[in-house]
Amino acid sequence: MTTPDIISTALANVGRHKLRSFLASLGVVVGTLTIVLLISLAMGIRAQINRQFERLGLDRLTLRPGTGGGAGGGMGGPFGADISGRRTKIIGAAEIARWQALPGVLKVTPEVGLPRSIALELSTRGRNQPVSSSLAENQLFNLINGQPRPLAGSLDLPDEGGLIATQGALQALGLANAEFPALIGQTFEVILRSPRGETQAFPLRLAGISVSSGRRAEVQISPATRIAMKSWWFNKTDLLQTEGYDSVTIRTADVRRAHELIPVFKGEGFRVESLEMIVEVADRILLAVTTMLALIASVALIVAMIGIANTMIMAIYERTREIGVLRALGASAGEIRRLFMIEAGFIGLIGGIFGLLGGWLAGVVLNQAIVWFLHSRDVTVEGKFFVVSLALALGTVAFATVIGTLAGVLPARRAAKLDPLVALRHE
Amino acid sequence: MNMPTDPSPGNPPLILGQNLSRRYGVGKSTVVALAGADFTVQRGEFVALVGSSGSGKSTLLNLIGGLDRPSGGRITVDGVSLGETTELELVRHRRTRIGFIFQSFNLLPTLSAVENVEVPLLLAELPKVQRRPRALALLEAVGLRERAEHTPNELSGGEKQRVAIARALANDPVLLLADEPTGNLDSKNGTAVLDLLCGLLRAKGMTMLIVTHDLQVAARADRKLTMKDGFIQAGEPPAFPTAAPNVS
Repeated sequence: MTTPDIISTALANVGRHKLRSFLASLGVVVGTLTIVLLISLAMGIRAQINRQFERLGLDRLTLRPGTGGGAGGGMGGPFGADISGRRTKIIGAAEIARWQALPGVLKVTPEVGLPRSIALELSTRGRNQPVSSSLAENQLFNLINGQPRPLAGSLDLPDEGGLIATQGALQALGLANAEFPALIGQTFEVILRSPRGETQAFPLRLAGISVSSGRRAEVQISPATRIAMKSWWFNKTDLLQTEGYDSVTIRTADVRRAHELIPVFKGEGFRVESLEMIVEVADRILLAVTTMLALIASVALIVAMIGIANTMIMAIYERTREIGVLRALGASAGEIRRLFMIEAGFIGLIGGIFGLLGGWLAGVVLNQAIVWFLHSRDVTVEGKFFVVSLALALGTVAFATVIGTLAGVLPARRAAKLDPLVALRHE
Repeated sequence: MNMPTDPSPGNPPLILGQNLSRRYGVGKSTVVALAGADFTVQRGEFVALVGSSGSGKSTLLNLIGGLDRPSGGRITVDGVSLGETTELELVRHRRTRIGFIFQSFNLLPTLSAVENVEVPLLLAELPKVQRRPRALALLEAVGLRERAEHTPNELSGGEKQRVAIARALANDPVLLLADEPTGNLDSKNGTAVLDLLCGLLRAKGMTMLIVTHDLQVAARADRKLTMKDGFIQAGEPPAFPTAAPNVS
């Protein structure tokens, strides 16, 4: 018998005993359904985590200048203003231009930290309000509070002479919310005050007003202006040439590109920070949990194997005479063995397909239920919690087929070993 | 016992049995089914194997058909010594040289008549497009063309046996082995089946061994081999060459 003939004969045999084949495959259905549901849930949660982190800035990298010896020079952190460490690799305008040109890089935002001892005041119409300065692309801040939203104007800070203030800062100056739209474009003064009492005013145009929690009085100032402020403070005119920017935030097209760029920047001698570490830990935990759950679900498939083996042994007992006739007509033992193994494989395949469909459907229904539940708790979530990828679909169906075929090995061997004469006499 | 008779020395016999024996172990005792049979069957011969129950007729038929192997002696069919050959060659022997016809028909109950006839063609790896026309032609030859799509339980006993005959002829075997082919049929159907078999035999120039209790059936054969206690007793001289002249 040719292989296609064996396959079509096996399929016909499975089709002739529809109910029995279906019942035998039920175990596989349950096992596959469980595996599909668990793995698709794990994949969905992984995608959710990635999406949430992406929104927070997983697609962003923070680069800092390389420092000799490492320790000591790294102080300052995300809020820091470190020019004290000896910089061996500075971030200048040339680096920024080069990175901006890299494929997959959307935006390069240089940051300049101000020394902590500088006191800042926001001034307009003769009123002064002490404010603190924040960085535009502050990952940690965004991670905790979410992306800042504009109340008026834009939160894209111009390179030079721009200012973004929180509503808290403006309210402290006695400005009402209703006035905010009209304030955009107006000039405010940011006054620097040294501990010795010297002051210097920097006139800046208000580019946008951000929503702030509570009465937090904060301003964001364009990097070029901050350089100017720092130059005044340290009384150095070539600060940008000698020290460069304090940090640079690089926004990439996606998480994967950010991941690819990390070793590139590290190789150049810059210090790189990203939120990816957190995601990696989450991934590792998720992988361990998924593996464990999949193993538990596999127990169902092993039970299913026993079911298929039992069905096949019964089928062989019932069809003993048929096996004898086939042997008398010239079927070899190998052909009989292959025929029964492929039949068992088909039972596994059918179970796998139904299990996949069932798992996918259950995922869709559960997804709706979860979204509905979260919605009722006022939590808005985009995307799915159950993701059935093509690889998962094909993989589980193939796995179920292999399980079925393996279950058929022993019964098929038994069928092949039957003495044709004994089989022909079987009633 | 009997020396094999060979009426045409230049023409080797289709079947040659020499001191052929078959013993079965049943528990601690041994049952001797064949005790040393010597015989020959020429190409184109129609031979009836007669004898009482347990005399070894079916055992002999199974040895010739390659369903069983001898315990001693030699059995050669179409030049192949079946006792010494490989399992795969035995399978090929059953598939290509032999057509089996059973007393209880042994049709596959879930297949239609034409599908049953297709089974040997499937095993012989005949291309799919050629199988159906050939099976239908064979059913036509046994007069069952219009019953092709019926399953065995929709057919009468005589019809079932005719389907079985069509199936036995599917791969143009050189030898038909029939074990009580009319045993489960009434006399009218039995005669019809026998007429059909004899007609096909003559037309195709095939050789046939038929195991029977029925003396009327045995009377239609060219020659009778009588078995007793595992031996072949004196048979009638072969009625050669009454068989068809166009031996293939």
